[in-house]
Amino acid sequence: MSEFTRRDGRKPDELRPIKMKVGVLDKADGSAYVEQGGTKVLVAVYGPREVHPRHLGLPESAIVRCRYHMAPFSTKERKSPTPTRREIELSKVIKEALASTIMLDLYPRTTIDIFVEVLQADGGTRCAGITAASLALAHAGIPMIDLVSACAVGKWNGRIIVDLTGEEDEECEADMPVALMPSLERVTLIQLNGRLTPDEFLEAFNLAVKACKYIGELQKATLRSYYEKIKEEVLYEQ
Amino acid sequence: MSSRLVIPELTKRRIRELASQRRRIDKRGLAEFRTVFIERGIIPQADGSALVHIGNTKAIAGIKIDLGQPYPDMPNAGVLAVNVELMPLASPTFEPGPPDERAVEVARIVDRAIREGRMIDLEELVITPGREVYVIFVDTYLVDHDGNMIDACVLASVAALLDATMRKAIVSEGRARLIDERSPLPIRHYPLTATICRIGETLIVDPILEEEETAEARITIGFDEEDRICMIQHSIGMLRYSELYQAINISREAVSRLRKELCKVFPNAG
Repeated sequence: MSEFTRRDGRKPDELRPIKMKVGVLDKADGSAYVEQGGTKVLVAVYGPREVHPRHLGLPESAIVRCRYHMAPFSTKERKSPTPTRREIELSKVIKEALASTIMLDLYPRTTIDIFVEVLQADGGTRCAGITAASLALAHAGIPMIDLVSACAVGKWNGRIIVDLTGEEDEECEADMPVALMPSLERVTLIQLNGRLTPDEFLEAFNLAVKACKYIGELQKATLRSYYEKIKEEVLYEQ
Repeated sequence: MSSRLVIPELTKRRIRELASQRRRIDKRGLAEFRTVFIERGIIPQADGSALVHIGNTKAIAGIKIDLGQPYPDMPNAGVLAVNVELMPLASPTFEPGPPDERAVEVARIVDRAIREGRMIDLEELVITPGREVYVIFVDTYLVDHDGNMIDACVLASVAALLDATMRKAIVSEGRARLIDERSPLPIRHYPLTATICRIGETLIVDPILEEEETAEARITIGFDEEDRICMIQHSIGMLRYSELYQAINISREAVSRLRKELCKVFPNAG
């Protein structure tokens, strides 16, 4: 057990260092930046705002639109900026993972647009994107029933591990991104690429829950310190 | 895909009511698939083909096999290319044009089930390493959409691959050419999926269109013939952890029943 080491020396259940920041963009209604190891993601939220084209709007609730995009310089070899099928699919699943937490019926006939830009990809980009997008939604002041925290787990060299790097992701037997609401304990995204036995699945899922809870605590601390800083500034001015 | 499907509120309410009593609008069991029909070899022009019905949902898959170059990062593997089209014939909400996000999602689910389920041994499809390999095109058409397009497209694609044969390649002067001697594909595993919807607190397998529109959450789970999970896609809504575990168990049983239908046409499929 002790001799099992990952390429970067981490333990199977050890996350990479995580950095989070909100309010990083001036024009967006909400924004956040998340770094998880070598993965760097920037997210902007616009809205609730008017829907264009207008027929897409819904009379009883807001709609959510999402674009997940990888910058051409984010990968080892240049990635063409035109969206790939992978990016189209991930845009959809990220949207679904976040939409179930937003209180959409408060804003009929509007749209909430989420832009996830991957600046550097080193594994777990959709998860970092979801974590950041949830922070950006909170920063935009959009009412939600919970935050969403996400982290990938997988099977590498026969062992269940958490937070795969890009290299581990390429070599692994299975890769399973998970997003959940840490307080309400609901899964909002789960995907599996690769093969797991039902027992391995349970082990992996439990590891993902643990990781997401930890990430959820970091998200809350990030938001809290952001608003405390604003509070201090206001008090100082007064 | 602009026009939206309208399901009467009355129907949705009835479906919810029934679900709370663990019943369904078409009187099926909660974990029961609709009647499954599989016909192989319906398109003789193709290298392999299948027509699949799951209830009123119909999908046609065709296989074409060509020679081509491998991916630069995988010189020792053949190429598998999966495409899914949601035909405008199939539903008033489908429009002609390039695949939208729904079609792309389904195509990628089918691709993952086949690829990660290791259905085909791609290394057997190499003719000259790094230069020439077989390219398998799986084109799956959803032609009538009455719910659960994912399972229908996976089943049609898998059946068409099982039906397919490839021509033998002869290499002369460094170039390969295909001759009219055929053999089956190097099939190793038999992945299949089951899609589950949550309506209220009840999980149902193989939703019809009205159930899909009423559902609060949807998840598709794939298994190979050894009951290993080879694909998960949670595509809508939220699930309790316990519901996720339950969905795994329900889908495993549902897939094994679906597999029996596949075995009637392809006796080796698990």
